[in-house]
Amino acid sequence: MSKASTSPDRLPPDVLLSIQGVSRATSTAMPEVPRWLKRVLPKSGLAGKGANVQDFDDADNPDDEMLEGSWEENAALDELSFDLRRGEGLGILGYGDARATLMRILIGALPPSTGRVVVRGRIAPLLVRDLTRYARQEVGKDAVYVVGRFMHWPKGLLRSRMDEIVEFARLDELDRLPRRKRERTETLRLLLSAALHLDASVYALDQGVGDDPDFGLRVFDVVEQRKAEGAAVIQGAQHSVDDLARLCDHVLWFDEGSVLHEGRPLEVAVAAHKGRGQKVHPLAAPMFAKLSEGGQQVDVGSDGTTVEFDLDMLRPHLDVAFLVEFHNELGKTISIDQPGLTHAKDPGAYRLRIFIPPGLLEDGAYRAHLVGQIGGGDSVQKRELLRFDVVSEGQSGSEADAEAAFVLLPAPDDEPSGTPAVAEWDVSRAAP
Amino acid sequence: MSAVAEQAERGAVTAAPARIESKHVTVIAPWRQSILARLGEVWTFRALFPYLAKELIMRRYRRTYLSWIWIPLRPGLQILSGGLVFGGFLQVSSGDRPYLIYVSLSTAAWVLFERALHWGTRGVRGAGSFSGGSFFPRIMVVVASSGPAIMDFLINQALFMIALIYFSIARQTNYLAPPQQWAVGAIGLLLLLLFGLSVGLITGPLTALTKEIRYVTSYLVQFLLFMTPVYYPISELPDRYRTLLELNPLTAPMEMVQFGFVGSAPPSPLAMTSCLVGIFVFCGGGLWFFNRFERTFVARL
Repeated sequence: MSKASTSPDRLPPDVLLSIQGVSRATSTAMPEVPRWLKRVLPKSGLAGKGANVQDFDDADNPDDEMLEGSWEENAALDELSFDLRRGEGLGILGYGDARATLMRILIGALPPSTGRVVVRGRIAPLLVRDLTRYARQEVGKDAVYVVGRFMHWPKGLLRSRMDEIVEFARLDELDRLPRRKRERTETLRLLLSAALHLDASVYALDQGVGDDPDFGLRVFDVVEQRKAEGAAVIQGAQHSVDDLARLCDHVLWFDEGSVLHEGRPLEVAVAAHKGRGQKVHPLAAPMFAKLSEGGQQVDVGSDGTTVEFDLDMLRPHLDVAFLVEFHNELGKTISIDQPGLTHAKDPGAYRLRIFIPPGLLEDGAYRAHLVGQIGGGDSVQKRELLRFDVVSEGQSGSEADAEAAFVLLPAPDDEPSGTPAVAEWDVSRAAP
Repeated sequence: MSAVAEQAERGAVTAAPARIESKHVTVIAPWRQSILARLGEVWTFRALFPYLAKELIMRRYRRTYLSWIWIPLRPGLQILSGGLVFGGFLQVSSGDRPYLIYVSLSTAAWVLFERALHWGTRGVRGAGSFSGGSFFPRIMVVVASSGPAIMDFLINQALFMIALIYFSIARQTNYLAPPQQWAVGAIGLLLLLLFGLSVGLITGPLTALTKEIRYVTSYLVQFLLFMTPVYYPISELPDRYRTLLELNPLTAPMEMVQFGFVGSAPPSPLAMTSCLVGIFVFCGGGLWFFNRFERTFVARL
């Protein structure tokens, strides 16, 4: 993979696919109804459609907005550019719209908003969802010809290769399936087989090739062979770099329409692991906390105090860090926080121990907040887990160099009796 | 089993080397607002025409008890009812030729216009279902609506041919016009089809916005049917109404068809002028309108 060629007309001879500044906005809303029409029509009809009514008196709306349209647009792809040369394999990794949007643009199922895609030769679309969308209720060879019409597959080539296409599909393997499932699987096999027999220069795959693993392996074998012969491959996957590693030498990891990481599969896998932050919905509550000893108050003495919390973690693979804030009546705020993240692999009950060092708090009463920081990288979310009262007594305030400590352990109930809990996770210590 | 043996078992390692096609360069570019671009799309996606036309035809008869029997039944019933009312009860004269011949030809020609408009109007709204929501130029649906229109025309034309054969045997008279006039009739048919498609380019996108356009269009077409010499020749009208009918741009193509195939009077200069102005306005306006509106569909994808 390399930077996109500047001129589409002078594509270097070894470049088979050139993506040049491609962006795509997605939108779903209805077009605007003209203002004058809204005034005369009853609100129960189109004139009463959703947000359009709020713009009723918007003087900036021209009357011909019905033609212009007015949508909320999201950028699924943002100014993407690269070249794909002979024998190269590119993986596209991403949860969002970007991956699917790029794939659909490549096969002509979606026009780009800006930029252009230049293909030398033909693209073989091994995209199960898109192929079946075009085929609709057509089955068997009819489906192949119908999809061919939409995708500009040469009819003569399909006709001349139909025997090879059917042979590769090995339809006799499906004889024992129930009729409807057999028809569906046969059609999908024929469509994929036809795409493989187009003498394509670029092979586009997304999310494997359906739920037919035996056939999928055969397809991958052929694509790998074509790649060795000089074709280029572009493959999408939702979350695993290893899905891409067989055919792809380079991986782009998309997030929010733009490339977050790129490199060899191993590099992206490492980056993905390091940067992985569990995305938590704003309304979700993946953790709950309470004081292990019950009640709402903790006393801190002259030697400091270890406070224990019982935590319920409802999600696996949570990256968490903790923070305690103390506020007194004078408006003073003191906080201690855990640097770095602790990875809690399994959901379940945990115990959090926080050592409040001597000298951190002056004598007096405090309102304390236990805050959990969930996720990593750019997606850290702070959640208040518990409020409790702290009464500090006998503090000299001169031992501020003592350190706070955070330890996350499995809950004692999960441990064999008599065995002290052992922390499997990082123990982070931080100065207040 | 080793990995290589597994591959051999699957048979894929024996695939013939590909002849990688790399001479042709394809450019996938953003949707462009231009009438020329729309016409270019019609050419690029011409392979879709038979498929879309077949789908539009089959949509009428799917999920009906009589299925394909409706194909001849509908036009047959229409001609019979028209013939009964105008030729039977109202005793409308059709010159020196039998009324059945006149009305079956005129109805066939009218069907070409009416069905093209009908499917152009309806098809754009449901165009997404042809491709499962993926992109293809929606103008192809309007163009493909000529498929069901031509099929209905051929069925009606078959009834016209049967009537011709019947009267040539029963009355020993050939009512078909001389072959040198057939070209005029064919041009008339082409103009009627073009009118239907052109108006469909306007009503199709509007129907995608609101179904009311469909209702209004069907009433207007019904009105237009009686304002066009389909069930009666224009010569049967009083003079003061003839001019009004000649201003209808559909009058001239209808009279060209009647002149071309059954030898009735040719269209007047006024009717021809109305037709030419009409085809320019509707064809150009339809393309302009559709071109402006299609961005709505593209953006909604």
